[in-house]
Amino acid sequence: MSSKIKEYRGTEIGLDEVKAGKYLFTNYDTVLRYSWTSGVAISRFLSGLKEGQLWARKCNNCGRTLIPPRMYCEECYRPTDEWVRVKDTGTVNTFSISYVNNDASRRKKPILVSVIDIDGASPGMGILHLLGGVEPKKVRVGMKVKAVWKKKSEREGAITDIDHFEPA
Amino acid sequence: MHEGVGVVGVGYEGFRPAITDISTRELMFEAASKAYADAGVDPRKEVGSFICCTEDLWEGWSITDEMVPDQVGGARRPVCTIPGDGIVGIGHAVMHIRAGVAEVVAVEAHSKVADVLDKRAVENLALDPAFHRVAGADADVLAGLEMSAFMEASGFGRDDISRAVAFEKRSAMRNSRASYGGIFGTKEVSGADAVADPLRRFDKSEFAEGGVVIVLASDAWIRRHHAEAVSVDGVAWRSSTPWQDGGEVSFSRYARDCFASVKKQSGGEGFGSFDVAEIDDTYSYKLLQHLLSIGVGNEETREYSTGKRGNLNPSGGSLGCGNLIEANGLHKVLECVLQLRGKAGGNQVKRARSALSVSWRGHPTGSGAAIALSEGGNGR
Ligand SMILES: [Zn+2]
Repeated sequence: MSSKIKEYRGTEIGLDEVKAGKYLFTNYDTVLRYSWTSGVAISRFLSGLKEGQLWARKCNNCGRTLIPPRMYCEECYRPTDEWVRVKDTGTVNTFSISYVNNDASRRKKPILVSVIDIDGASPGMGILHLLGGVEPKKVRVGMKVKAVWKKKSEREGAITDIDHFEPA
Repeated sequence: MHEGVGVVGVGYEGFRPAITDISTRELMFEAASKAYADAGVDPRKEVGSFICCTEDLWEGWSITDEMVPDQVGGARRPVCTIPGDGIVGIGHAVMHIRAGVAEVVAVEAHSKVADVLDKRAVENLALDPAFHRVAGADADVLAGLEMSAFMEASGFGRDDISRAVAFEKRSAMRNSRASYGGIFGTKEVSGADAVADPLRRFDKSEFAEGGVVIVLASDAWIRRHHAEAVSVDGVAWRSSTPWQDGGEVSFSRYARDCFASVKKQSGGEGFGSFDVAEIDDTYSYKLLQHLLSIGVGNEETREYSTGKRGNLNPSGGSLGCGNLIEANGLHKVLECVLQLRGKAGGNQVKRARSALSVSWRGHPTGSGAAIALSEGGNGR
């Protein structure tokens, strides 16, 4: 509605009428299931995480070190050349203090989502993860952080094998 | 006169029931790298437009189009995606070239369909939620219904269809890209387990994974680079009303109209004037339906589909190579280009100078595409 439009033409459908079955109403639930092939680069990355290590790929043409790793360099368009183990420390590239859950419900205590540029990888190469062990107000872009790994017995070859990053 | 367009490079990877060692992106990189090497082009400098044919629900990520540039060489370059068959992508490439958007265009399509654990769930989502989805019908059930009507209307019987299946499966035995070849008798095909009767096990092409990239260029570029090319003489795509929504059930109007258009564009004659053809056979009866719909007579259809006449689906088709979803069309183009180059290996047909591909996007669509190709050599 606006200053010009006072009412819409047509017949308004009320919730009562829908509930009473006056109109065709279809509800359909589906479960879509996928099992993505992780491939050469991400398989190595994930098995590294299980060992508490971060692995990147280096392109010897442009000299960049890519993490998460890729088997091709998108700038040079050629296969990357070698595996490079990088540190599990880095710098906060950006962060957000999030008060919403995945389902859009509100959180009382925020989560600290961050992109962390990993030490040893090329500038701007980083991974999305959580920050912990720090007051939201104290987080700063440029802050040095380090990975807090889950216990070895709890790691499963997933990005969540790093529980979070904390101030270094 | 429109500027001519030719295929200057082809590349592919995979063609297996499941590719377990490389990811979708790595698959695309492998196929694209080979196509650029084949064409002798640097995608970072010489390819002016990249077109990927992908559908989010088959990929398992939303907005997949945002994830395609890096692995095809299109980072920070003009990239677009089409949720449709690869031949439609070639149609867009031709438009890009003729409009002056690019001189060289790469078209990519792939199947990583083994990553989709419940394919029926995806197929069900393609059905109308109010009128069709509730019936529990999936693509195979629609195929069974359509096959029934087709057999009744056309007079083609169970054994006619089985003979075509046996011929395709046998052809596939000579194709290194075919995962589903086999030597079958008509009785074995006719008596196979029912899926949605009359549709039986071997009437349905099984899913396969693979990636194909086709590089196209303008005639001017081809001449300047003295490149070897296969000419694109005509390309068309159409969507007709699907039969379950009121369209014709025993006839493929999209195939008829696509073929009429490419015939007009290429100045060609009937189906018989093409030396080799790769026609959609994702379901056995669809092959016969497509032939009849583009004007091939009943007796000729029987002969073509059993190898007694012409060169139909020498690759083994989708029944032999597998259903590559959005890559089905580019697979056919790949096979035709290899035939025209004389590089089709054990399936090479003699004196292949012109080729036709007709693709279909599968149930529940009434969408298809066609392309006419010929031995080019514009730059030679
Ligand atoms: Zn590089």
